[in-house]
Amino acid sequence: MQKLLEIKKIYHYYGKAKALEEISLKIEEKALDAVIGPNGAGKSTLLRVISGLEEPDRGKIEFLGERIDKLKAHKITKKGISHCPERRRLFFDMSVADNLKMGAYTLKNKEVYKVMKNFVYELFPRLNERRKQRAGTLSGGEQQMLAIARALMSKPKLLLLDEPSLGLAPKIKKRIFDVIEKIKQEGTTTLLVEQDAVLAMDVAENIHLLEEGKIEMRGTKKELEKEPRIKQVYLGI
Amino acid sequence: MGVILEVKNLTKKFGGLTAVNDFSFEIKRGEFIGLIGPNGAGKTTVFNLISGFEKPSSGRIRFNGIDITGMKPYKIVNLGIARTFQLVRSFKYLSLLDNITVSCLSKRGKEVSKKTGTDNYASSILASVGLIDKARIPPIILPHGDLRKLQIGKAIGTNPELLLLDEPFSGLSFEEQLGITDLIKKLHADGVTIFITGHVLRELMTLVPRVIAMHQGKFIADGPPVQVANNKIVLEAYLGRGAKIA
Repeated sequence: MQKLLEIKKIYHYYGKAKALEEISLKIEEKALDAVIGPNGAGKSTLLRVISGLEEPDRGKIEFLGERIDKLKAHKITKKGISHCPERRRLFFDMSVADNLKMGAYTLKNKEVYKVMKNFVYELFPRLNERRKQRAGTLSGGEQQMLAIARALMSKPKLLLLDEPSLGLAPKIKKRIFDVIEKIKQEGTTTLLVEQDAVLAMDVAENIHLLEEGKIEMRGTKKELEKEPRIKQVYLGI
Repeated sequence: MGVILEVKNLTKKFGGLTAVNDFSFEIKRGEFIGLIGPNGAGKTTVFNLISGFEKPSSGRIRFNGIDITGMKPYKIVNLGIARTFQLVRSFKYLSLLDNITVSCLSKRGKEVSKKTGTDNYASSILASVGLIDKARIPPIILPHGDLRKLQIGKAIGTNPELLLLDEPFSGLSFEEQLGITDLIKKLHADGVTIFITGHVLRELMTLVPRVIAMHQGKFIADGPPVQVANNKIVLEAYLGRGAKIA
């Protein structure tokens, strides 16, 4: 399989505090990879560095063979990377439909826009029912659905998903993760960042465990399931 | 060892959200104890309730046998509870020495500074947190690690019996974390009861002999770190539902 994204020895600092240390990561086309780890491990920073919200202090990021680590976020979006941020960051005063339109601003073709709109409404029938409603009045689960749908509207080659389970009840979490699996089956390459290790390991093919900015371990669910290191990383001992 | 802090059925609601839910525990004088829980568990709210920054919806808090429930922070600090904040706060344009001096002028701080002189007392605190060579510098131009130390210094200036430290390690480099660890250990050795939160657990779990774990506002476990880390409910709170102990 062709590799879509390759991260080579990335470092990132906030002041003196090291957020990312020598991170290398390859994502193949059509894969679903997950980065797990406790709060503060550097998971969100990793996504921010990929989508250009932060410039890495050292290292290279290649997307489809081309270096993107010095590009600004809006240029990276145009190349086909879409970032669904932590805590959703919706346009709360805009309708569901307008939020989706905002997600599609890089699309030049009206037909593609229609196709994508139908695609996300099919994926989340709930959003179709509420398309005229203000985003801020949706429930937590619906807001998360909208955030994912908005990120999909630009028809990305790579979808970055930051903590889609945050603050949701177990049942809703499960529903969101069913959709994440469906998105994968439809062929969108996804890099998922998630604190809920159990959920992430259930859907992802490759799992990368992050601890204090370093990749501690990686493998498939089968390889990591019996691994005591995961518990140690989360609980400190 | 007597009980220094008694928290009983503590509950705090913010609108429809119950941030702290029927939470009870006790801390004995001289203890060194951690409060853990995943992001959003309610740790900071517990600290806000104990230190008077928030009023509980119900429940009781007793310090040295005195009911301090709903008391104002400045009264609580005069009884002997000091705290630090997750996000550092300081008087940005005052010198470090003046920052510490402010807290040395509190009621309990004065009990010490009366004997030694305020300047001497403030200087000795700055020295103990490792900032004495920056005494004349204002916080605005200092790095985050120094501000964390300053925060602890300001809390010490009030001469507390119980010190609440909210995420003292967050945003620090490894070396800076070690410096803070040493400082906290020294304070505990000097007789201050220490209650400390953290969501990054590597430092915390090896530092304290006892931790209380909470999740979604509720008490879930209490005991030595190794025992709490192997508790099934704690594990699920951190790793997700269905997590197994490998």
